[in-house]
Amino acid sequence: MSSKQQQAALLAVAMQLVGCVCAVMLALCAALGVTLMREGHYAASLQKGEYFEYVQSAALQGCTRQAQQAGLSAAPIESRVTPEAVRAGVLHRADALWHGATQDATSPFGGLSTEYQDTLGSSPADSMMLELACEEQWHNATAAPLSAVLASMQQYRWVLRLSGWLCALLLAGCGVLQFLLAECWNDVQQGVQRIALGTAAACAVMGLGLYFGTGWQSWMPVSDPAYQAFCCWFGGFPPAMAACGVLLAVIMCIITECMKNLTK
Amino acid sequence: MNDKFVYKAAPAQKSKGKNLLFSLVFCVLAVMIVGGVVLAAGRLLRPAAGASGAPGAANNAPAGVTQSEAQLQQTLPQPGDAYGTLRISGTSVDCTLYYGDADEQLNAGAGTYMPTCLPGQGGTILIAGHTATYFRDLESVQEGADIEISTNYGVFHYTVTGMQTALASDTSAYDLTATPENVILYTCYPFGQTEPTEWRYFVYGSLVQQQEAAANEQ
Repeated sequence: MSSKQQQAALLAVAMQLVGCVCAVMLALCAALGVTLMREGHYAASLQKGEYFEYVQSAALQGCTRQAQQAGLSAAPIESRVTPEAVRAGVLHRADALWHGATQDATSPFGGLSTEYQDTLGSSPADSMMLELACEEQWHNATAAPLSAVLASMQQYRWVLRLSGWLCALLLAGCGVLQFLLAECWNDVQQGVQRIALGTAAACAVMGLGLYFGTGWQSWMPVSDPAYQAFCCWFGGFPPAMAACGVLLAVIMCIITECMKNLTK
Repeated sequence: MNDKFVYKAAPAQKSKGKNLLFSLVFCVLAVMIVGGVVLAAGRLLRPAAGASGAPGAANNAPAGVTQSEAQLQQTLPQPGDAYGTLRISGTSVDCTLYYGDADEQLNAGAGTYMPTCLPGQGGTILIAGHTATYFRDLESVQEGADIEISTNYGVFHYTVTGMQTALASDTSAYDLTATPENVILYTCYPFGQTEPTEWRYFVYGSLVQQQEAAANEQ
């Protein structure tokens, strides 16, 4: 092997290492994008963690107590604090974290005082006071959980997006360099296989390490009503990291294989 | 296409071991590099994940020996110490409260401006927080909401008396020498900004209830 070929082989190996690091970073960005940074994942975690049931019960309890204190029946309140209303209320507050604040029209207590006056014959003053008290209880109960950690992450959204694109570009660049520095398709294929295998293994190790080695389960007290939701929310990230790494590795291998078959 | 990329049959299996070895080295290096980034991010997220801000969430005042108000005078928290938690009803603001408002404290919770008072000292308590993180939901605060500050020497409740936006340079927005005891929370405005802005959002509260921790409570 000539000195030029040796240098090319050495450069190819260096590019494989850079490609592997970029691929792992890309997998990390993708995993964050589909889990911790995605509103849908957050909403699903609240659902799975039975957080909405907790909020419904807390809101009902607070509003019923207000009605009892005012000497009024709680029946109209019970029919308004539904799982759908709770879900809409909490998610609206959470939505503000992703898309900024919007007018909150999710309170189910609009017209409550009129209903009390029309159907139960209560005084306007009592029913108005009750409606305001219920609105306040509702506002308290529907505060979006995990907002501090979500807001902390949201401020790095653009960093994540930028790094994702940058890593994808660098990875593609490393792939092109493999092609330019290789002597035959076997060399290209070997190089890409090294990147792919390294990426899959690194992502699997990181996924396992994140899940079992960081102690994230104790970041929040178990007694917190949103603990289950937190576990679902954060617990989805390490497996996604491993899955994204493996998926990326498979895609890299498939692309190389396809290109190789085209030259047969 | 260049002739060199015309397909050739694969060489002997001897390169398989070499490939695996390279992959292993890449894997280790990638884990070290990207893992370092992830761990650094985790260190930032961990304090924020300590409290959900959910209604009825456990309030995790820093553990410590309970003190009376008199003892507080003798054992003021040191600059940078976490001395309590801050929660506001109707919002998801729920964070650790630090003595000092340097970047280090504001990255981990809300910070008390040190020249002002501490809860229980009878004057103005000025507390800052980042608008992109711990004080992001300050925009949900409504008049009459309850600001709860739990410390290891007592629990203090303040009711929100007003909110306003003011220029950062507008010193008329706060009176640091006012009595009786009151709390002023502030953050950059508009909400959610990651860079310092010209405007500040102030939330004012006055003390309504003070529960000293029981002397024998641990």
